[in-house]
Amino acid sequence: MVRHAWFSDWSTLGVGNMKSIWLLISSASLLLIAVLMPNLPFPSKKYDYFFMVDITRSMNVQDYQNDNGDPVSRLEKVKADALIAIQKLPCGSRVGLGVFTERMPTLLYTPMEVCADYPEIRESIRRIDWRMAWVADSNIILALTNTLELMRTVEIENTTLVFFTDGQEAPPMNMRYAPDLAELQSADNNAQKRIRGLIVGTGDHALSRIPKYDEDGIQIGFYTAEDVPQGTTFGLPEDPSKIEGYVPRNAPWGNQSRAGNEHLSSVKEEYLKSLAEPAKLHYHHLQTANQLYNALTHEDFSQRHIRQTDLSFIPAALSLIFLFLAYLPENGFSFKRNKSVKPFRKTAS
Amino acid sequence: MNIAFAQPWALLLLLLAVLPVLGGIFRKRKASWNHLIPASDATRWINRFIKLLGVMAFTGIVLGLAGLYQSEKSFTRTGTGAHIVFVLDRSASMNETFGGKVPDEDTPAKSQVARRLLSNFVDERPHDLFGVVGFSTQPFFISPLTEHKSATQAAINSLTSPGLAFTNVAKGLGMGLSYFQDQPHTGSRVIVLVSDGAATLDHRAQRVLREWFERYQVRLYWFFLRTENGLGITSEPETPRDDNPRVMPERYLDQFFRTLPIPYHAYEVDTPESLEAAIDQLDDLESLPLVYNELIPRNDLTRLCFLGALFAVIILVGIKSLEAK
Repeated sequence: MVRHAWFSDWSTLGVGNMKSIWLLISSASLLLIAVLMPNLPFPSKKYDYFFMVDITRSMNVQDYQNDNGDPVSRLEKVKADALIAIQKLPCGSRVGLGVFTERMPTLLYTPMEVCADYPEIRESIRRIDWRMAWVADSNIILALTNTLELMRTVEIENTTLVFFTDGQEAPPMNMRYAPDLAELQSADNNAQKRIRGLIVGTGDHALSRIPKYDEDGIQIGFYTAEDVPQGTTFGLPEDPSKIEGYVPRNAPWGNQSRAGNEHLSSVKEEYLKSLAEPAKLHYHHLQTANQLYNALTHEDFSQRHIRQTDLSFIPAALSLIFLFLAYLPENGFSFKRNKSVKPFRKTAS
Repeated sequence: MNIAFAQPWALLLLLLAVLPVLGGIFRKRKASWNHLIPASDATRWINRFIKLLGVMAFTGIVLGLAGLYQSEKSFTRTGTGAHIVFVLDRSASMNETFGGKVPDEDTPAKSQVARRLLSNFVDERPHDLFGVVGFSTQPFFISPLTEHKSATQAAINSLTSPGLAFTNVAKGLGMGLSYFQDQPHTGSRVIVLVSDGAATLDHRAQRVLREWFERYQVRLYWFFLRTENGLGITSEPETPRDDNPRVMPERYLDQFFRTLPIPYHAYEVDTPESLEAAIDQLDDLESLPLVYNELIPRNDLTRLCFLGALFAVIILVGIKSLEAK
């Protein structure tokens, strides 16, 4: 019969060195290391973003669906998906917020840390409202240019711009007078650094009607063809020969009323890509929060940063292995025989 | 005690803790007859103690690996302080200096001066809750009432962004007041309006503001950043014809604020120094008893677990060294 009375004199040596004291000593010393080791600098990824959200009226178009299949507006979709993506970001990442309308962006706050200040970020994103808009037009390319300039003014040019918009220019833009994004972002210009970023196109490819609201936010219908300019009348046309009824002085944009569907809105992907390319920005079409997260965490946007990381789990895990070996039954994994290992009990007799 | 785990899946390893109960750390020895070595009470207790040490060692390491921590707690304390909402004017004229000029290196813009001083003020008042509202033609929500100073500082930084359009004081104040809608009434409630201009309030706005100020019992401080030689709160009209809200909106806004059933202070500020003095005065005034939450940050107990396991293993080493060879 086998027993393990540790005070026994009848030692049977060489049962296997699994029960060596060295296992316990190694385990103890590894634990000592785990307790005493300082936090070590360990490289990890983090992301700094500046979210710039379009709050013009075309963002009210309800051409997305939520999980229940109910229609939600582009702005609501942006808010919901941006929050989900922010939640997934590693701690130490930061998010700043701004909104734009017409051609003017404004900063709501400079980047905040996404873990410690998450409640504030959540609340402020939830409270973004199209009614914050101080003017009504929508001039995407100038808003983008001004956003890049704003980021330099408030000295957050090292953060990644995330520009949410549907690309709907209202009134339509005369591209002759468009600013040169390539020049703004050129590397030759030593005074300024190229700002990295991402344009997120929002909306469906199909045209939808733009809701019209009154002062109290109650929907009173949709915009009709007569409500909006159907083409640009700004400046001079590029090619007058194409314009019907062109009169140089009195009707540089023709004397015919123009038909069009500028009162309807869809995501202007081609246009947004044509903005992204010279500005060396990425383009992403907003569909799901997961895809947005993947687009946001693209290699180009990640920043390496050295974080003091607690690595004590490594020696502790090794110590656990040694401890496990110290307790491993000598005869393999069978515990059956250990039943007889119970200390002998005195009987009443 | 709010105990939680960073990697709860690692708790599966707790199954290892049965090992010391099933087996031991000692070599098995052959004995000719069990009855020759009867177990005494002392033996049994020592045996149980040794098993317990083993269980402790395993449990300690596994709890540590699972990342045991005490989650963030908030204690309710009483101190002095206030709930303060900054209502910041983001109109275009805030970009100018107090002299009404384009800012340069020596003379910063009004918005920059305001940002620096408000930022210092926030730092000096550890227990206050701060919220930030911006307004131009429309109000915009910037940050909620919060004790996180880093968030408030980031929100105040919004003053560095260029100003926008007009000054619609009524809507800004309305949004500022809405912050107190579902806040417990403790300490003093303060709205600090920082603006460099005023606007006429229509009757509807006047009625709503009067009602809300009374309902939420909010004190109002108005830091009026006056441009040099511009009209101020205390300017007297030169002719009776000029004595109307269109010509002198500041004077009429001030008169309206005076009629509110709440404490109201106006500071006409026309230099960075006088703004500093006004903020100091606010600091002195707003120190009523306040029930505030003190956040105890999350407390990592990993090392403590490893330490417990370490003690158990050291004792086991000691016992093991006594084992007969």
